Amino acid sequence: MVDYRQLRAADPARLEGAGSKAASISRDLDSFAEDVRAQRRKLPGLWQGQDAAEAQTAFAGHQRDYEQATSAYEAVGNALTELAAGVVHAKKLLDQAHEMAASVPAVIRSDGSVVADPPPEARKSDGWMASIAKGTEAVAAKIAEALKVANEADSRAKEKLASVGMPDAPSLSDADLARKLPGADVDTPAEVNAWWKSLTPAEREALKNEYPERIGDLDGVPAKDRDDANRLKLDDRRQAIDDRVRQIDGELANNRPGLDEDALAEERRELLGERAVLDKLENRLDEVDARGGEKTFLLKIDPTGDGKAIVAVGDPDKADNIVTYVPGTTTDLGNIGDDGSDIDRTAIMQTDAAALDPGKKTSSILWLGYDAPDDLAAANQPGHFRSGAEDLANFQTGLRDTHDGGRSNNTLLGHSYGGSTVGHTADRYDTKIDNLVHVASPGGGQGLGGDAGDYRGGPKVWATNAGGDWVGDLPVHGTTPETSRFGSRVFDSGDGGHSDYWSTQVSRDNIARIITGRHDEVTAPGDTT
Amino acid sequence: MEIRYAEVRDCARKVGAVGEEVREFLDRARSGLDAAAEGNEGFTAVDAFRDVAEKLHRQSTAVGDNTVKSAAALAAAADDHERTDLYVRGELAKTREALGDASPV
Repeated sequence: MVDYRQLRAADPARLEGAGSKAASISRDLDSFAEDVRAQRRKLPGLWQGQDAAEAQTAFAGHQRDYEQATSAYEAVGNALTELAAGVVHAKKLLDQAHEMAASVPAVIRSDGSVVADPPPEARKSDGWMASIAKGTEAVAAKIAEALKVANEADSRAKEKLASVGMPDAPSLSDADLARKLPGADVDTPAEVNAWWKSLTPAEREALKNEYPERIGDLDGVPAKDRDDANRLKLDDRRQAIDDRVRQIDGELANNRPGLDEDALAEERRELLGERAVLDKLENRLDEVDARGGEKTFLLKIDPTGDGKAIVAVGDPDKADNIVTYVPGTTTDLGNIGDDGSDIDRTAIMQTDAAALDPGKKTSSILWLGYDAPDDLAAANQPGHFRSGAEDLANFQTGLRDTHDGGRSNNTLLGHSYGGSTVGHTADRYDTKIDNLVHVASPGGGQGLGGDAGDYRGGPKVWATNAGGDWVGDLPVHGTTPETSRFGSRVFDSGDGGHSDYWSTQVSRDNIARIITGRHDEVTAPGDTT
Repeated sequence: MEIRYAEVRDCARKVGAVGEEVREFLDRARSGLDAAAEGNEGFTAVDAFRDVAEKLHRQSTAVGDNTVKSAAALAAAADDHERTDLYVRGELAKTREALGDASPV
């Protein structure tokens, strides 16, 4: 049991520092596991036989051991960090007790016991003495509360540390690990989340490393784990591209008879193009991370076709406010990282909301989980949003399933064709959102008879179209959301054009107000502020 | 399948380097963890942490040792196979030569 003297002397900064160190060791061990994995994967292409198979098995065992050590150090770090937070809280209560004692007045002895210390004049007043006695009891109660908080934190941390799995635990074979993947009965984000929680930390670590392409894409898996898996998937793909390009270069250099040089050159060009797109994305994420604000999370990466990606700025699982931004026509993996483009818009919404509501955490997510139309002709067709709706709905409900703590304020915002995408999705699925925002949307994503009241779950529906934007006059995919009969609340976004919503201050301010739930402060066109 | 000995040895070298790096890394990282216990007497979790950290360090270092050994075993196996390959090829060439077959092996 922690006593008064020990709590006074406790140094939570050291616990916090050691927690951070353990987390850092965990990350490094994870990269060691990945290094072993990379070599292990190469081996079958170099040598097949009994000795090679034995080496494969041994390397797989070491990889699993590093993964177990990774999750063990992570668990140690979490336990110490939580203990440090508990001790900080308990010491604050002790400080309060000391402040109370000074004003009572009372004396706190070195063993934590409290005695009244009335001034001589107080002894002449029964009322004053009674007040001092009551105050003394309150000080003792505050000290008891502080010790209770400290000891509860201590017990919780001890329990967590006792359950840390060690690297010498039996390692899963590749076949055992494959059997840990979700079966056909695991489908919805809630089911995925339940399956993920049923795994041990070491199993989760191993699955992320061995099956990054599966885990990174699963709605219902926490954002941090998806990010780990997708970053590895990105590295794997780049490595595969580099290997293939080297192979092509070798074939072209050998110039064997019958070689189809044109086909190889074309393949090489495409691979290098894909490599450039992936590099550009990663550089952009690094750039956002280097700004010192909330970190980026890569929640999906799929380079096939025009490419898809989901990028969060700030961890949505720990955020109080979450906005998911769905971009529109011409968006693809190759241009979301352009200057002033979608990742920038996503980061702008995060910083605006965080500045407006600094006491709360905001996560802003770019959702390019669908194939957006390539041009205006394609944007006249509903097929793009129809085919993306279920994935968007699953992503939204997954945000609820993986969220830690109290219910977050979730906003789904679509720009241009993305506006019709969010509308269509909310019309067909219960997305569990609180707000739906149409920004320059060419229709609500429903039939012409549809309106804001049709969106499932009853989110607050917002709409805007800037003065210089012609898209608001195009009811291509249902009723224009800014019209009175649609039933949305229309907000001011200034007089800019179709791409100016994130560079116009009034537009940014109003979007931040919606995201942070400051709805009374949202201004309508024509309002003076 | 032809065995690519040089690349196998490179693979073994890289895995072995991971094992060595892990051992050195864990030794360096240890002092940062030990600091948690300083100034935090009376907390049973801190005692538990000391035990867990010690055990984790010992076992993770052992994984590093085992990784180095496995990598060395792979490299040695590759060396053995290559020597055997060369010997067999040499013997085959001699046999063919003795039989008057001058075609390359």
